Amino acid sequence: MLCTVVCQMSRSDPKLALSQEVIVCPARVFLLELIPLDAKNVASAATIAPKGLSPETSRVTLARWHLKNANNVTCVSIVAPTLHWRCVTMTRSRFLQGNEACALGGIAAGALFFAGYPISPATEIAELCSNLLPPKGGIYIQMEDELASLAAVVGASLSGMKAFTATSGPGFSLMQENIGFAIMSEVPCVIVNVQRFGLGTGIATQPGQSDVMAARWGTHGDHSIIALVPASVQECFDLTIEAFNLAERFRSPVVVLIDAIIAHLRETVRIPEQVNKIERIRPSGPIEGFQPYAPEENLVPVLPNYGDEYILRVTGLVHDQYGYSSANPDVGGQLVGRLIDKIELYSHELPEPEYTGPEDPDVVVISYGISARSALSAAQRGGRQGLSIGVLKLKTIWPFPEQAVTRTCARASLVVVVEMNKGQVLREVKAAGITRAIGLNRTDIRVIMPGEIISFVKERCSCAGS
Amino acid sequence: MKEWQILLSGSGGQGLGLAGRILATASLHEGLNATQSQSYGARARGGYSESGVVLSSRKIIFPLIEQPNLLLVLTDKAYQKNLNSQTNLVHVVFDSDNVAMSSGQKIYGFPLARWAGELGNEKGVAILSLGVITTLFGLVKSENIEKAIAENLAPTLLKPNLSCFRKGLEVVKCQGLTPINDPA
Repeated sequence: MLCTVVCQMSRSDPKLALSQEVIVCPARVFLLELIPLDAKNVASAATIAPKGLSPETSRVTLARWHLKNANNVTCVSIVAPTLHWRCVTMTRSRFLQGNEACALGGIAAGALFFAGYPISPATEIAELCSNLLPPKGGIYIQMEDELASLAAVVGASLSGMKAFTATSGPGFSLMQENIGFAIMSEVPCVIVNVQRFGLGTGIATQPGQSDVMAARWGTHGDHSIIALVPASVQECFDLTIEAFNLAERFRSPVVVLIDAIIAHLRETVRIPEQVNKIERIRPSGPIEGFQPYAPEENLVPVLPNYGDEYILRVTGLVHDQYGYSSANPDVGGQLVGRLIDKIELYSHELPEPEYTGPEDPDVVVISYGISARSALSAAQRGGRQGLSIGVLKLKTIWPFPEQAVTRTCARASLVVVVEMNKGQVLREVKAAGITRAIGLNRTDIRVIMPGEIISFVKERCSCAGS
Repeated sequence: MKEWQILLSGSGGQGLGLAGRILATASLHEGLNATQSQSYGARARGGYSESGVVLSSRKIIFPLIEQPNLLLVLTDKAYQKNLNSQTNLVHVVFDSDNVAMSSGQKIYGFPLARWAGELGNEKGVAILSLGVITTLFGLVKSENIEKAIAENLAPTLLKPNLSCFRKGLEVVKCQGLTPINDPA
């Protein structure tokens, strides 16, 4: 499939925003003119847009819906509200495994460095990187273990390269020390964790979704972290790119939490020729007296690379704005506070959860990864049986999207969190104030099937149809 | 078109994963949507193995096999695993030399592994089965399967696997079986 999508956005004139979507493909030319927001369009936007979103966002969602449903054109443009223009050229549609899409996403985002210790079910990411990176002038290193893997990634990133690693639960445990180091020393990097079942070494290759809390709190000390959860092979590609962009934007490690099912599933992926990339900002100004850790207005510092003319001191110890270690209580308190705030105060920039379902559902199912695919199928099938189920599919899992969750669940009589663990996200939903939420959990390597979700809902919902 | 949930089951080394991938990519050439999953790890190197393919003209929401409506069974173990419960399977294609079917479902038995062996390509049994399945159920055009075989195999392996696939096609035609076009 070869087609080009051109999206026009104008911030100066909201009425014109996304007024035209032009899709050119070999066989035909589409011009999707978005009609002004009349009652009918608002209604149709509301059915597909997450609740509580602004009409502007709904229009973007509506445009995406039009694109998805246009015959032979299934590309979706991700339109950032801050962009005036965005041009995406779709050149290829490939049938890929989740892991392959993840590796290709990293490379598309500009990664030229991968260091890792292959482990199933993440092995294909290392394998593909070992094939693809060297011909591009990039570097692939098979390290002696996962501690060294992330250490190498941190080093590469400090020297200016976009770098990533991929592992599974056992390796993720070994990486925790260096994740903390990367957060403390503000090193952008991406860690892909293809979750397998269990603690310890679990069951190799079999799926689980039980590293959610390990991603959040695996490393010691107060901190914030960004973690994304793909639910399709396309999202493995898209969210890995997003992870690299967020790593640069926030100067922080970003975790991509895939589950073994999505990682090994094959689906069609649309790979654009160009993707939206955030490149690293380099400092300017006098070298004398330069304070690398002095934050900008958004609380993120502009750090030089190793080898630049600026001096960069890197330490896992509490440090002042020059990078000198410090035991000063004020310095320690402010640094830890800033490292948290630079992410938490800007969490609205992270990928929003996607709501699918009726406007006022009786039941809201919150899920992610392969379990979200089951939930979506259950909601569709349940709808035919008279059940009113909406699904909130998470894309960002950390920081937890509390506001979207509380907004979506506000009026639902039943809130079910579907996940392949003992209730790790359920805790967060309850902590967000939805104390009536209940969990549909499974921890036995078997995927939670759509039929199981329907039965679960029927048993517990007095509002359930026949 | 209703959604096809096709489960190819047998033992590791029979090429079930590859056959699933070929079927899925062939259906993409016809403008259908497809997803493919397969058993992974130790299973893939012997013992029970399976590959699932979902085909649909619509967007596929749940990508795995929940209730297969077309099942290929190449070994007795696969039969025990997939047909011993109260499964409500619609169509079953099985290896008549290796599986003792006792089910009253709509079944089609052929000595699939023996034929592949006679063609000197025992590992081509899943691809031979694809020939049977695609003709019997009208899933995708045979030329698209052949195109997908070429895309998924090294050139040196192309000829023996194409002959397996064509053998599967011929068998159904020779037996005068009429294609079934929709999963019930």
